[in-house]
Amino acid sequence: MNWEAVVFWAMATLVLVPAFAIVFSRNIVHMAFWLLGTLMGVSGLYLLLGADFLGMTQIFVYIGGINVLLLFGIMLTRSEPVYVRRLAKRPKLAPGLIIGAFTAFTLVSALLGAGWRNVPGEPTETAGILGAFLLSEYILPFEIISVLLLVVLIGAAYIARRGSREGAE
Amino acid sequence: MQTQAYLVVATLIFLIGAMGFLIRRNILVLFMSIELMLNGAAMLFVTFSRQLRQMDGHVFVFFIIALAAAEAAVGLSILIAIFRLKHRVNVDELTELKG
Amino acid sequence: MFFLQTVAPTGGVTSNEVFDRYPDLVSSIGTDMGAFLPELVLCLGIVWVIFVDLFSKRQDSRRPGWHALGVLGLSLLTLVLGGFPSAEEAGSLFHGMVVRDGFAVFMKLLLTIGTAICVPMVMSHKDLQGRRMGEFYGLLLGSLLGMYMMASARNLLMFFMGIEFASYTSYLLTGYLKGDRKAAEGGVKYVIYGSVASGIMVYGLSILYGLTGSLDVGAVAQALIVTKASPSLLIITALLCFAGFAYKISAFPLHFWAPDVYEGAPMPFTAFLSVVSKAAGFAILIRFVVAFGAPGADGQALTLASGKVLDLDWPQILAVLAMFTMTIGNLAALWQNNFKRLLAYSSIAHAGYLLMGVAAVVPRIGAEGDPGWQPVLFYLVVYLFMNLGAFYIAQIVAARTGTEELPGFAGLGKRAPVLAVGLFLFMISLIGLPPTGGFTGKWQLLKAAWENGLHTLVLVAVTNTVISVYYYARIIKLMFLDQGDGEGYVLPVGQRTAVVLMVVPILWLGLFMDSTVHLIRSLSFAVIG
Repeated sequence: MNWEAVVFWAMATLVLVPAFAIVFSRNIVHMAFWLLGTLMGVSGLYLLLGADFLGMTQIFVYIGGINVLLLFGIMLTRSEPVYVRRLAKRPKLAPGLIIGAFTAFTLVSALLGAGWRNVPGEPTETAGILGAFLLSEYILPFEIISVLLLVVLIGAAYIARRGSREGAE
Repeated sequence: MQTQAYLVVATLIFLIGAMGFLIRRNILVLFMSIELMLNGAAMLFVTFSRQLRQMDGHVFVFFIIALAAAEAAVGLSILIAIFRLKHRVNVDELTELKG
Repeated sequence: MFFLQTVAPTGGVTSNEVFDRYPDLVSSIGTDMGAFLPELVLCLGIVWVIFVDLFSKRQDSRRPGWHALGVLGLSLLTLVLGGFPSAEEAGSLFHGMVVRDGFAVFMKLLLTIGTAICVPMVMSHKDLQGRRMGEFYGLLLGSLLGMYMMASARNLLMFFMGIEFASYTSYLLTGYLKGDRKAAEGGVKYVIYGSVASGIMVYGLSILYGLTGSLDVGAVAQALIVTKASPSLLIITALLCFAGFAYKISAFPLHFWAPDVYEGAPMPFTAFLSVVSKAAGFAILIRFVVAFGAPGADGQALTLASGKVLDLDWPQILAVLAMFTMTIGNLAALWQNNFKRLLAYSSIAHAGYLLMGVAAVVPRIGAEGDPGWQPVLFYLVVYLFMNLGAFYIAQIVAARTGTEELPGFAGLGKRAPVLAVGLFLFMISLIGLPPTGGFTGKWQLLKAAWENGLHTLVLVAVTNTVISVYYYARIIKLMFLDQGDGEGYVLPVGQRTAVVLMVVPILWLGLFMDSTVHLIRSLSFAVIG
């Protein structure tokens, strides 16, 4: 086994085991930390795929931003113990699992059957090229997303702000 | 590593997220499941990007990450708003609207 | 770093080479901006409206509304002055991110008019008085900007961005009434189901990208013709992508969010969601379907939508989805007592009728001089006026009676004849009876479906129309035959004018539909495969 396979399997384990743990764990704080593992693993796989910039962005935005935001959400909405009910009240587990397994089987087999080939290449830094793409071909979405973030964050701040002064509560 | 291996891992992340979405009821856990699904899709993009030797997939993932951050902010603000009113964070305990 | 010794995905280009591909980068952005004025007006308008609100008193909650109307008017003006691009003028902007064609301009006009009708409803809604409303209008304009993107996108990234932009702002607007339990609950349900639908869609888009190596819809469709991917993978991909669109238009199987969200959201925004948001969803769906149904390079091979590659009859698949959508919507509407909820199910049913039109688009793609999507666009115009009109009257009645339940409408014919007659006409139009636009619109949809061999679907749609008579007629009966308590009231002139203004287009489209049909037929459409 070469080193790439070793790293790949390590990262794949780091991704998939916590992902399962999130779905079946009962402690919500643990879940947030399991999510951290998955996100780290995905970041590692990005690096392995040669996406150095995205791997770092994944750590900064997902772990530093979204995961921390989720932890804040857990703290702010904690009226009960951290243990949450595991499943829905009337979980339709059996049909769900059958459909899930079927979907997984078809999706994986269909993806594998598509005949992808492996492409060799040289190591490159992607950050500069990504930036060049964002400022040339993809300049419109790059500008639109700035408007999106502005509008959405203003709106989110309005909704999350305590509304007592407005007599709403 | 073979491209297929990455594809399988990405698809499994997506499906685990989808499964979590179907069987869990805590809103925060649902958000975590959605993040897993988005990560699966993003990883598929990066894999294909290497496969095709193009940067377009990377650009798409860049936007997915940014949009996921906005989505988390929106979701949590609404979650906090409803928690103030009802002190509940499970979807099946939201019964104001019959449906 | 040892990780980086693996394959790099850049294809060996450097950043300078990327810029060299676009020698006229700066000047082309300048020219594209000229065609992008309506969007720019909205961008500035969002900031402007929020600023206006900062400098006005809280009691003065209508002031940003007037400014939002001004912004919409300006955007409308730039759209009209830009005109409908002819087939020669149609093309792409910003390196193939968005298109500029008659279809997109028409949809943008429709979306802007719909939003402009919603703004006065917001200004007169009693629960939205005395609040800070700058953010509301900012979000509303932002949502419209996202829908502009949906109407004109040609890159998969822009599809995704447009849908997400429109969705995020919609989540926030649904939960805007912070102290209201129903609104908060509607917002939570909307954000959860919406996020998962977009997650599924982006997974489908990623497989499309992997199969074709492009994000441009036209190029993707062309590449799919020669792809060696297995049919099962293509079907799964198509269904995954459809999830995102189905969610926006509230079609089966992703329709279940609509009733709760519609009931929870403030009435003007429910109207916006059921009409404007749905129209944008159909715009993007038509763009997708037309691109994938276009004839291939050799004129023989047809791609995903027409099913020649896959031995699958895509019109039939869309037809089945349409059947389910309309039947579920109509059957569930029979038992509703809340007006908003009833109109929610009614709007699901209408998504089914419109989807019938989309199913009929597929066999017509590439046909000279007759775009198959003409009946869909016509019905969207009619639907805009009749549904917004119904919501507008319901809002006035709800403000008077203090309830959104159906018994509030009892005896309306005696209390406020103008409202009752207006609502009567809108209900007639929603059923699809002459002399209203609902009749001409639905007749065109049925005709298109019948001519394209979807006979079962037409029969199901007619049966559904008959079923729907029951619940619309129930409201009519309540208004004219039942005795209601409460006194009569005189409508302010403004409200009376507004009702008349909404009724006129319905009757006009019902009696003189030819000019509109000709206008829609003459629209140019970029990106055909």
